[in-house]
Amino acid sequence: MDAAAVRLTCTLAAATTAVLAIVGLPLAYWLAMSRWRGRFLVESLVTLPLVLPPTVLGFFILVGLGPRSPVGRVYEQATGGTLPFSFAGILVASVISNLPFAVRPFTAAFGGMDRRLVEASWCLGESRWRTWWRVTLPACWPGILAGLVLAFAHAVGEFGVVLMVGGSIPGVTRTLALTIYDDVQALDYAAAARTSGWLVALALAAMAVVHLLEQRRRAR
Amino acid sequence: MSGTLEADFTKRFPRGSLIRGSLRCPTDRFHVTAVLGPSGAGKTTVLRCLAGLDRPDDGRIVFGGETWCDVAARRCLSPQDRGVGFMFQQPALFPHLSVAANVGYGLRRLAPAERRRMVTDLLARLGLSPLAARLPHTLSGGEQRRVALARSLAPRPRLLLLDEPLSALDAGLRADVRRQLRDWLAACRIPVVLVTHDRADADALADEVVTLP
Repeated sequence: MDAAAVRLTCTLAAATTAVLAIVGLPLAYWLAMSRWRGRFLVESLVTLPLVLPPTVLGFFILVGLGPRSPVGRVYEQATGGTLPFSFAGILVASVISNLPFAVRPFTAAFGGMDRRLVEASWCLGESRWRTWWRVTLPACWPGILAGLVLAFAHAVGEFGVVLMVGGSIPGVTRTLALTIYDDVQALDYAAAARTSGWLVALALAAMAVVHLLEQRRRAR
Repeated sequence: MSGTLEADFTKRFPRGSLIRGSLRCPTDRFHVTAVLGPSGAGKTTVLRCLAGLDRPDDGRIVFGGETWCDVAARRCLSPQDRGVGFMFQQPALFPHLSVAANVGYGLRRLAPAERRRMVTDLLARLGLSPLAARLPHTLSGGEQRRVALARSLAPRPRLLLLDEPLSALDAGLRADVRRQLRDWLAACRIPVVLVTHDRADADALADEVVTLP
């Protein structure tokens, strides 16, 4: 296997998961607790990457991050570089594309939590912030971990969006999924099979972890 | 008046029902006030307003001369600032914490040795010592309720609120626990407001019974 692609894929998936934990947890908590009537619009936006073709999503992200876009201009002024065809660009694309894989399990976990646990903590003198750390997060941890594992596994296999936004530049944006595509194009089926096998094993392990966590959550 | 809980408030629900909470009971000694009413009368809502978990639409709640809630003055203390203990109808134990950790949850500000001593003492008093290391889902319903009671008593609240404390128990166990509960509460010398739909529970546990319409 291409060592640079393995390194890049792992870095991309880990960074995507970290960003989704930071952005996705507050968003999911808000979605689970909010009584705002327009909440369905935000939920629809979050879920959109699940139903959009990766090429469509990739196209809009490419245009939205391009040097002529506001985001692209700000990034260029700050760093001197451009987002398309860079690691930062595929990271943004990967985060957007994987948003539902993290936020939906997070939201289900927060929504399924007994609200009285939070209220019991308040009555025992704990602030909202400390209640979040001492009760909400640990009580919802299996669902949160399931979301993180799903997002990581899906980010490892990300193909269409990464190809649209990052191209396939070795060492920069060429992930494992893209090496499989390149290997097949080069008729190197043995290399493609090896890489595909590893990705299948990783995906299977991730799904096993997710279902094990769900089984444990139900046992409680 | 200091030394008294005076509550007179209303809470309106979106579908039109109006709950009225009107109570006056001593707070400077052990005294159990039972709020009696049929299911759906709004007993739990009264307790939630006293705890600060729900906000009345009108009226006042004054505890020992301290205004907890005054809707006209737009003042409403949070549950954290009221120092109440609340035992919900369902035990609502923290599922990831052991029995001992649940009971010690509200004692975070104490030194670890002091916290351990208080938890051990409470567990012994409520007959929970053998269960200290167990997780809530491994306990029976009656054991979970005792843990919930110990947890709400541990920080020595200024007022203890009990929502249908005996409702989940079967008839045989109920008479025993009814007698024990009164003893446990008396030992802690904390004023109590409890709600129940059962006249026998109210008569056995309370010094004073208030009926909700």
